[in-house]
Amino acid sequence: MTALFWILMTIALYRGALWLQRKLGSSPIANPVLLSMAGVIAVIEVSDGNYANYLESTEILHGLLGTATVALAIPLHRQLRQFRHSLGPILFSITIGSLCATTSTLAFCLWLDAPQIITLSLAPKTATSPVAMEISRLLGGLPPLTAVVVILTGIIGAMIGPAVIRRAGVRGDQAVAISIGTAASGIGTASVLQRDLTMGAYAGFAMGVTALTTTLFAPLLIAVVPWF
Amino acid sequence: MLNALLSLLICQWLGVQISSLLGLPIPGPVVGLVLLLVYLHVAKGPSAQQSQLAAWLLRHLSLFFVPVGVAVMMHLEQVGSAWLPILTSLVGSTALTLWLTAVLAERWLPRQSPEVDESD
Repeated sequence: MTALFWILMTIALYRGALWLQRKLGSSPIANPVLLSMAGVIAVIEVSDGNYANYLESTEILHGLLGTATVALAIPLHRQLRQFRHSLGPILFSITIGSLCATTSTLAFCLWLDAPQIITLSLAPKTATSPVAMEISRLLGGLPPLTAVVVILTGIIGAMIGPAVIRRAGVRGDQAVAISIGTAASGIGTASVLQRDLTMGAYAGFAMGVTALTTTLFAPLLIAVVPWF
Repeated sequence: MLNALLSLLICQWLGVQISSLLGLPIPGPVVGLVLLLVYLHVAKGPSAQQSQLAAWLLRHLSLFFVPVGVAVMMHLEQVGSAWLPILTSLVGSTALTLWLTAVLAERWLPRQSPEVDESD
């Protein structure tokens, strides 16, 4: 299949995913990344099964992910004054949140008796993928597995985030955005941006800070885990 | 639109170059984001075109994650027999993190809506 076909297919399936999500009352469970992914995988499977060709064909969409990351500077810039007012509380929440993310991941892995290499690969899962893969490599994990779990974490967080946060009795838009950006990095931030550009700035900021704090926390926590 | 697209691509390209030349642990596009922030500070805000293009790109950020998501299929065998502890850890830890971060942020953030505060 040609590159044009796969780009067209990806955009068409994404369009379909947005339509389906709206039909389902804009439910976060109908995550557009997950739905489009499932559609693309189905089409690849019934056609040539060539994933490498698909990735090469859609390189431009992957490049635009970087362009969109740069574009996050614009809503961030607009919110800077607001950030200055509440930088302390925001940083505090994100730092404790990301510390909880790494600690609880390690705790779950120990409890479930996961193989050591799995634990090491899961430890940096809340950081955005390129950063998480680098941390994983330094810890002695499997960077490709880390890339997989970062994506899964993002999808899970975007899907369950709004429900969990509502259960916690939290209503403030900023708190919701910061929480999703911290726990579900890029795909979580994308789910917030889909609804509101300003709140997306908060989620994006949380994602960036989490990448930094995870770089610090993951090696430290791994060092104190008993069986090391 | 052309100028806006050019400005974003220039920042992205410079960011990637700087990140790889200096061997920074920070992804190139994030360096590009910082460069654009500096530019916006100097230029006293984005142009109307830049705001429009950024809003469009960011609203459809999910689309740009689709190829990354599909790439998961190529490495699925790494998950292998450990899928149960992996999935449990991911769901458990993500739920806990969402809950804790939201509760902390709600308690510590000053109560105000971002657009209303124009008093100072």
